[in-house]
Amino acid sequence: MTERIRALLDAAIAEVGPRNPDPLPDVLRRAGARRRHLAVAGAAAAAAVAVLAAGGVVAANHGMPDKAPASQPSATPTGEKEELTRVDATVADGFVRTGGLAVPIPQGWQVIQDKKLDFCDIPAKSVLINVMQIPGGNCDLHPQLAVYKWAPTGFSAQVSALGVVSEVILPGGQPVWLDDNELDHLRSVRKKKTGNPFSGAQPFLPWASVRLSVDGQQSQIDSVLRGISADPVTPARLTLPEPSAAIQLNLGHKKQLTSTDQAVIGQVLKLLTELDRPVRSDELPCAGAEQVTDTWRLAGTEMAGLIFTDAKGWNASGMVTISTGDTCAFATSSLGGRVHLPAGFLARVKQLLGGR
Amino acid sequence: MSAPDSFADFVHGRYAALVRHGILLTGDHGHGEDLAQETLVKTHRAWSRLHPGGDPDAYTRRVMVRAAWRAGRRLWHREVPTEVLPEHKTTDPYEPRDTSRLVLSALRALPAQQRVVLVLRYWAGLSEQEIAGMLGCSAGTVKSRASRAITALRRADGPLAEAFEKSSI
Repeated sequence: MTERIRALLDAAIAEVGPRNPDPLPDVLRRAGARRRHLAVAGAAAAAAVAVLAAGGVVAANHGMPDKAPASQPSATPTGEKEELTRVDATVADGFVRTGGLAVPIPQGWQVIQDKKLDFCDIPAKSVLINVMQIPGGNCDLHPQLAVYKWAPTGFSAQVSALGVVSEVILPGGQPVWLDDNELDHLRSVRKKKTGNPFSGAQPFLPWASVRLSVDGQQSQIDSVLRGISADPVTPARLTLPEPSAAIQLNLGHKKQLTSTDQAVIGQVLKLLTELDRPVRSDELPCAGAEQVTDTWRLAGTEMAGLIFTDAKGWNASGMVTISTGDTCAFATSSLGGRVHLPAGFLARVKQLLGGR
Repeated sequence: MSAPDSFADFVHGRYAALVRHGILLTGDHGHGEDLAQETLVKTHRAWSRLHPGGDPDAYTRRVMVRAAWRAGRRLWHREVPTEVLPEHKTTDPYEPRDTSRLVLSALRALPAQQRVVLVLRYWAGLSEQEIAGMLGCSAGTVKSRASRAITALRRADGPLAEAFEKSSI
C-alpha cells in the first residue's frame, strides 16, 4: 500500500511546476512587506501586553475545584514559563490527581515525573507527568499516558485550534472538551466494535487545566477514560474574564466572527452575565445524547467557542462554549460555571458580532 | 530589497521542488506555490543562520510543513481551495494530467492535518515519531490521522477508488 500511495502522490506532481519562473523578486517583495508589517505589529503588541498586565480575572470563582484553572497569562512570560507549562499533580492510590481530577494509573504502569527523555527511551506503559519528550529515534509506538498543562489562556492560537467543541460532563460536573478531530476518531472507533487497534485519545479538561494524551490499544485507552473521575463542583453561573480587546466566535470549520468593538464586547459579556440558571449536576446530558465511549455521553455537540483575546488575537483570557441548537442548550466557561441558555441565545451573539 | 547571491542561488535551485512539496501539502497548485513563497520569506530572514553551515532546504521544508499543519488548526483561512477544480480550457504547459488532477482533488478533500501527515508518511517517507516531532504532536495522533486519510482515499465513492481497486491493495 505504501508504494501505491507514494506512486499516486508522485504522479500528482510529476508534470506540474512553478507558474512563476523567477520567484526571487516576489519573495524579496514579500520579505520587505513582512518586515514593515512586523515593525507596526510589534508596537501594537507592546501596547496590548501593557493592557493585559493591568488586567486580571475579575469575576468570583463560583464553586470551582480547589486547584482551579490557570491564572491570567503573564505579561512577562519568560519568568513564568515553567508555571505555564508545569502540571501541579500528585500521585497516590493508583491515581494522578490534579485540579480536582483523578486519572487512573493502569495496573502495572509506571509513573515518570520531571524528566527529559528521548522518545525511544520512554518505557512502554508509562504515565508521564512533566516529562519533556524528545522526538525522533527508530522504535515502535508504545502505550503511554501523558498529562499536559492546558488551559484556554495564553496563546489564542492554541485555543482557536479547538474549533467547535463537543462536551462531555464527568460525574461531579467537570467538563471534558473534544475537538472535532477527536470526536470523529472516537465515533469511528465506536463504529468498528471489533478488534483492538493501537490508537490515541486527547481530551481537554479546562477546569483542571490539563490535556491528556493516551496512546495504546483501544482497550487500554477505554480503561483510562472510563476511570477518570472528578471532585463534585457546585453548580454556578459563568465565571467570565474581564472585558477583552477582542472576541472571536468559532462557529465551525472556516466560519468565524470577530469583533474589537468595545460596545459589542460589552453587550456580549452582559448577555453572558445575565444567564442565571446554573445547570444542576443531574440535568445533563439530555435524553438521547450520543454515546462516544463506554461511559461518556455528549452533553453538547459541536458547540461554538467564544474566545476572549487581546486586540491582535494573540493572547486569550478565557473561552465560553455555547450550544448551537436550542434543545437542551447550555454554555460552559473555561474559567468555571455552566448555565442553561434561552432559545435563540447563540443567534443573538452572532447578530451582535455582525453575523446572521 | 536585495538578497545575497547564495540565497538567490538557493531559490533558483530549489524553488521547483519546494513548489511541488507545497502542492502536495495543500492539494492545490496556487496555494502550494504561495506556501513555498511565504516560507522562502522566512528562509530569507533566517539566511544568515542557515548559510553557510546550515541546511536551508530542510529548514524551509520544515517551516512549510508546520504552516500547512497549522492551517488545519486555524479557522480563519483567507481563502480555501474548492473541492472541484473549475472547468476551463488552458494552454498552460504545466497543466496536470488526469491522474494528477484526481489525486490533487482527493488530497484537497482531506482535512489539512490528515493531508500533511499522509504526505510526510507516504511521500516523504518519515517515521511516525519523526512526524510527531516535526509537528509537535503525539505519535498516536500521527497514526490516527494517517489511518483516517487512507480510509478516506479508499472510500468507494472517492476519486481514487478506481486506482485503489486496480492495484488490489
